[in-house]
Amino acid sequence: MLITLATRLAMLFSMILAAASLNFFVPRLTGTNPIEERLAEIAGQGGGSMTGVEDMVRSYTERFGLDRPLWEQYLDYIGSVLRFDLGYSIANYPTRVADQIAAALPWTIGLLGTTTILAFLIGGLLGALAAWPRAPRIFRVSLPFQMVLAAIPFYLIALVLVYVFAFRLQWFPNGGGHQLGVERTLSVSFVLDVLYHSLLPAFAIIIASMGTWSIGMRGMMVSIQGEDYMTFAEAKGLKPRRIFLHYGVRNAMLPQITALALTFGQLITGSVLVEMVFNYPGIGTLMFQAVKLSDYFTINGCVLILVLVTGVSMVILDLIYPLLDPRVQVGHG
Amino acid sequence: MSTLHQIDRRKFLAGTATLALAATMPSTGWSAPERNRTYIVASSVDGPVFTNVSNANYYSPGVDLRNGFMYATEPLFYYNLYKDEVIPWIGESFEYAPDFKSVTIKLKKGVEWSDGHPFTARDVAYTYNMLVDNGKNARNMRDAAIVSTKVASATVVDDQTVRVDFTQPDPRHMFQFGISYFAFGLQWVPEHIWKDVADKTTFTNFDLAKGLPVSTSAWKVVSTAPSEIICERREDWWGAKTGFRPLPGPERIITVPSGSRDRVAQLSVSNMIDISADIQDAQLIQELLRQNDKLTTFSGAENPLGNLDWWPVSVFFNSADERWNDVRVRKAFAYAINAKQIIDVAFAGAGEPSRGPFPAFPPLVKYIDLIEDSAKKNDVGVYDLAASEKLMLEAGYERDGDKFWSKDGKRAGGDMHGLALLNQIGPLVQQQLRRGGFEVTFYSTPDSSKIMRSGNCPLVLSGHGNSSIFDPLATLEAFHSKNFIPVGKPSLYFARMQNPEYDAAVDPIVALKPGDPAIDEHVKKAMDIWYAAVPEVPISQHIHRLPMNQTYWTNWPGTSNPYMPPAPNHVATSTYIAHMVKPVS
Repeated sequence: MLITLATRLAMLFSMILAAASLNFFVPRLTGTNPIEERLAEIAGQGGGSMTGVEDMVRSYTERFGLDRPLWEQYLDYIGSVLRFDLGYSIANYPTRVADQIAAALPWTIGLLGTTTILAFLIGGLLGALAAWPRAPRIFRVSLPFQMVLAAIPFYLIALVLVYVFAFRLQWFPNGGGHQLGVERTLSVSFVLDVLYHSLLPAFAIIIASMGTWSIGMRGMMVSIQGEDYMTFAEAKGLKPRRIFLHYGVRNAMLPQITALALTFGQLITGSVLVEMVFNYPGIGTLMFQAVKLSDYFTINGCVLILVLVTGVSMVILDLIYPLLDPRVQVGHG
Repeated sequence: MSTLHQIDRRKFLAGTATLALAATMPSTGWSAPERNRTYIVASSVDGPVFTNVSNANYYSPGVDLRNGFMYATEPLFYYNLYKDEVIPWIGESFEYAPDFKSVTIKLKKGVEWSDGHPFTARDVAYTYNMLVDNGKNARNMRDAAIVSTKVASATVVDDQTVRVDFTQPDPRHMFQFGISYFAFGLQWVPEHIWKDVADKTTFTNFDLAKGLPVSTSAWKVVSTAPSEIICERREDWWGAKTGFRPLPGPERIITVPSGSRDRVAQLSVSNMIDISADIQDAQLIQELLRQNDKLTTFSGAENPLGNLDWWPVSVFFNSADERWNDVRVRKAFAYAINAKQIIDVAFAGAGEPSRGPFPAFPPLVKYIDLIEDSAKKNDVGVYDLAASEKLMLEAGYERDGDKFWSKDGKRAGGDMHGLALLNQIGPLVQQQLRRGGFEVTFYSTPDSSKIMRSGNCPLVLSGHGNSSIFDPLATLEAFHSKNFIPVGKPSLYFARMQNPEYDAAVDPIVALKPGDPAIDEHVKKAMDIWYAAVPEVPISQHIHRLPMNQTYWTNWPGTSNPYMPPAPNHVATSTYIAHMVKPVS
């Protein structure tokens, strides 16, 4: 067990190192000077001047160490990554990148993390029922509709939902993470307010993504129905619900779980459009603005989180697989 | 292996779900406001959320003043361009020396910072000298370089009087640094706090528990998040104590990021915000006014459904791009644009074509009239495809198989970048130019502003940044060779014009005070050269179309009461609007 864990952690470390290296070099290939761009952006907001901008650029280039040879910057960066020191944001100096991520991450996890799990559960269940001969016909009929919804990007569904339920019917708020000006504490009223505001975006994501999970699950359920253990379960006279859940779903969902872990890694990148449509202050928005302003250090921080989430998800998945499938033995492949 | 099997699956899933829910909870402390005492503003920023919400250092390079921090600031003077009137605020008056080498500023008595310290001439002098010192040495604070170029030093005469000495005669000094309007005007810092700060670039001026940012404003910041910044009215505001003004109506000001045009429209029509950023779309504004009779604009329900902005829109030729070397090609290009059609189609007729680079503000109208003859002589605003064709043939171009003008295998035209704000008119301009034989493609991408500034595109569709407001010099200097920046380096002036004759015509204006009749002759001469050079094709005066909601607040600025342009992204004047609005109940 310990050897397996050590191997997995070593692989995780190598992956982070490789991704961090790519992450360092790719944004720098654009040739843009992020400090110069930021100062020009500010001056362009009106009333500004480009007088002395070159001196300011020089000053902050030195402060951020961007005037040093690339290899030195790279070694510094790797050292910082290992210390989990993500440095300062160039665009939002003197705010630290870690603080920006800490403020944004809960929103992304709260909205996209929860909805991904819900879409996985609902889609998986619907897919399993669609392939289950004893399930009502409606589950089989619903599959084409789910496929249609799965083909529509969720931000388009989001816009339709906003128009119908927020703008026309005014049942839901049309954006934001909570009501304007409310007390942002761990109170019941605030929690309910956040949940209320997350319903529309959550629906948009669930509706659009559950079809994909459903189709995958249906395929797996069809393939396991001829397995010996299913025949054995029926021969034992087990109740249909038990056969469905414990013998069917449990075995069919294993590839889905792997896909779920990978999906968590894509949460951050996939969240950009949703967060833009709903004005959510999450990590997708942070990364979008960082890329727009060539804010190397914030880009590096966001991508590092992405890599960590993917890597750690996979390691956790490896470790909890035996919980889901007793046939899998940690350390025995 | 065995340990893992001992973990209960249900407990594991329940624990994970609890952690996920707990992670969604941001924290801070604030109580819910009453809506009819709350003033809610959707401010335009780059992106769907505010950034840098824990930085209230106005001189830090990363700060964005367009978020709610602007309500915790106060200027010496405001300026109402509609009446060409300076409005004293924490300043009382100012007077230039006869040679315009200094200005003496008198401050109001009884002005106090939010921590109880008196606001005096020492704070104004400290702010100036801090920027001068930084501009001469480290040069890493915002505005420091330009201030140090123009200011020698500031001296305290007495508690209420400060004298600012210039490096050269500067009759426009106060309009650049001392008066707040649009985005102009310095922010004054409390000497008793800032003098002890060692590194002013890393100082965030933000610690709500310690009362930072300290301000003289009637509002103080009480809560910040990327989704909103909340300011609360100070009952001990100096203005009410001294009888200068009553306490303002809004007890709380909530500033939220405006986000997309659709979002602003929805928030406005559902009474969730009181004033918003510019949404430009005239048809959308008309629809909003139909759906909610409490919504209004600066011009009410009449055209242009908003107020004139300082940003007349043009297509700029990048003069550094060799395809525009021949003035005949630039002129032919201009003949192919039908500005009236653009306004009719894109803005439902709610707008006016522009005749040059100046916004038609009252103080500038006389200059626009003055150069009208030159505009006519140069066929400015004339749509004439036959004249365009004649010039292109003269310049050696021929129509190719796709009817585009072509010379030496290269087609006339190129990529035209513009901000998303102009994506209503961009495709129209593109189509008109294509009909005229110019292969132009309009782009408005998140990178467009960067590309426009760097000069890495032959054409830019944009308004005039840092335009003139009270006198013509600012706009004229945008085309001065001293502001030329090579392609690849960011510039605020997209035409990248260089013309020594033009420079010579503009230079004498610098020493003349605004309104001096001698300016007229220089403007006329400079604009004759400008029109002949065709550095841009004027399209329209820019109208800020933004809905203002009368459900909770009245006395918005408007045609009948034009006390200030209302746009919240004009950081300097937003606070004044908040002082002027009155609660409905």
